[in-house]
Amino acid sequence: MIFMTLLFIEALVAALLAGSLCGVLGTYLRKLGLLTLCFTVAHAALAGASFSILFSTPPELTAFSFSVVAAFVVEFLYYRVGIEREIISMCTFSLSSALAMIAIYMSPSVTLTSETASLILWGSILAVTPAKIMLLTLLSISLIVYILSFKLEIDALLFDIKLAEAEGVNIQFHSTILLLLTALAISIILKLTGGFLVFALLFNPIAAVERLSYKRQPLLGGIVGGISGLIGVVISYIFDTPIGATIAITASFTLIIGVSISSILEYFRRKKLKHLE
Amino acid sequence: MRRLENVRGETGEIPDRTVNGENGDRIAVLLRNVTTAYPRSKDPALKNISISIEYGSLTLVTGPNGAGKTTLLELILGFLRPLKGMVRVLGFDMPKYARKVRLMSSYLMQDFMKPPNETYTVRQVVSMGFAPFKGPIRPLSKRERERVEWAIKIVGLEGLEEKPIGILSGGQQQRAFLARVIVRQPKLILLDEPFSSLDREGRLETSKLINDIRKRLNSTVIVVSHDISPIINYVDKIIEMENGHVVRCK
Repeated sequence: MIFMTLLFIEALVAALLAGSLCGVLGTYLRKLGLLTLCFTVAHAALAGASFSILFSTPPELTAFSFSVVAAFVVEFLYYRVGIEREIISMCTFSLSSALAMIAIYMSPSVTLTSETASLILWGSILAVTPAKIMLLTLLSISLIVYILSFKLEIDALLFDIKLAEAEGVNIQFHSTILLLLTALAISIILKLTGGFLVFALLFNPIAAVERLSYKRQPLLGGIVGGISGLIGVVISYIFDTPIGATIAITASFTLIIGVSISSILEYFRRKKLKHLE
Repeated sequence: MRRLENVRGETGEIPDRTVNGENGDRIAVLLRNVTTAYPRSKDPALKNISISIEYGSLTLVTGPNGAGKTTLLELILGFLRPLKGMVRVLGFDMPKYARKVRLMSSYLMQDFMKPPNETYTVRQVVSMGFAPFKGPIRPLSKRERERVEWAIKIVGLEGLEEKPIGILSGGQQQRAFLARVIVRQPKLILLDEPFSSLDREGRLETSKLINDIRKRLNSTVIVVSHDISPIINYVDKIIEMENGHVVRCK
């Protein structure tokens, strides 16, 4: 009983941290047009984790290496060769997914239903450890320090990326930092939410927040992401559903709620304007 | 007029610069037989053009749509590579030293208008001009904050510092961007269609403002505009472009 309670609390803390971290990261990635690339990074991490089963290497490290390589390949082809980022990202995404499947298929005595593979693909509450919580905390602090340290440059990029570039802001530096932090976050969170679903935590919170507010989006993204994670863990615990999928569904619901609230507010705004006429 | 008097009336705030470049060059922008094209484009956007623009001058680049005016600015800032020929800006070969040149330049983009939901205030937007010069954990110094206020005052946006830029009119937004241009005290100022969202009076006023800023900062100014009438009295050189060629330079 004590073990279960501890496990549940650890899962709650991890989901809160993971959701908040992804919510904030997702906001910046979205504003800088890096969300598609981030989708690719998530699937490259999945491929890395799958290869870790095949070669018995540390899953987090292999996932991180794969995601970093994928991000750098896409960025190199975009900046140096001039291929559209979206096109290379989607090619790398399909390649990563295929590699992940092949790695799992070729793994000795491992099938899709085995515990190790399902941990990587769909996530598990058992993957949460105090060490991972510590890593997530450190990563969250690093993100906050980075944002506060480069506030003016980041603001200039968020305001108008082309203008900032024309004025000499180093866009590649900031893209690289954000992608490295994202790759790290995904590699750590991978076993909690699963490789296929981690992207839901990066995209849905900011998609919901954008419907509701133009102000303080990174902060709101973090809050919505954190709440999605928390509710996901609670629902998963109560109904005994897969944790990764449940968190992804909760995160998707935040978008539905965001769209609904913004539609209702818009309805009342228009009604008020009609009265003013 | 009050705005213009502000520019003239300023004393001691901004250091005067020599009109020549650091190594005594007189030419700020030099293009020699340059041909360039956008990626994956079949036709060159600029064809075999040669231009020289002196330090401290005000140059007007004009011509019909698709003439290559904005392309010329993008080439000068190193966003495009020359397929043939040589581009040298402020003494640096481009696009090799693009970042160095960009740090010494300011650019007013053609489509600068921000939507009403843009929440950054005028003061924040103007302060962003300092962004590339600030390393990690270095807030704006007292002198830089004073310069932000100075720039806002010059363009006549006093009292609107804390207003979100999105709710300002086109003309006011443009002045905010002009403040961001001058706050950096650039050696080279590139203005792409700066009169596009202004009425007749606003155009004349902005032209005077551009000329006064140029004189005050000793900057080299290149203005791209369809409409030559507001600024014609102040320009040192007019470059007419058509279909990627320079058809007249006087």
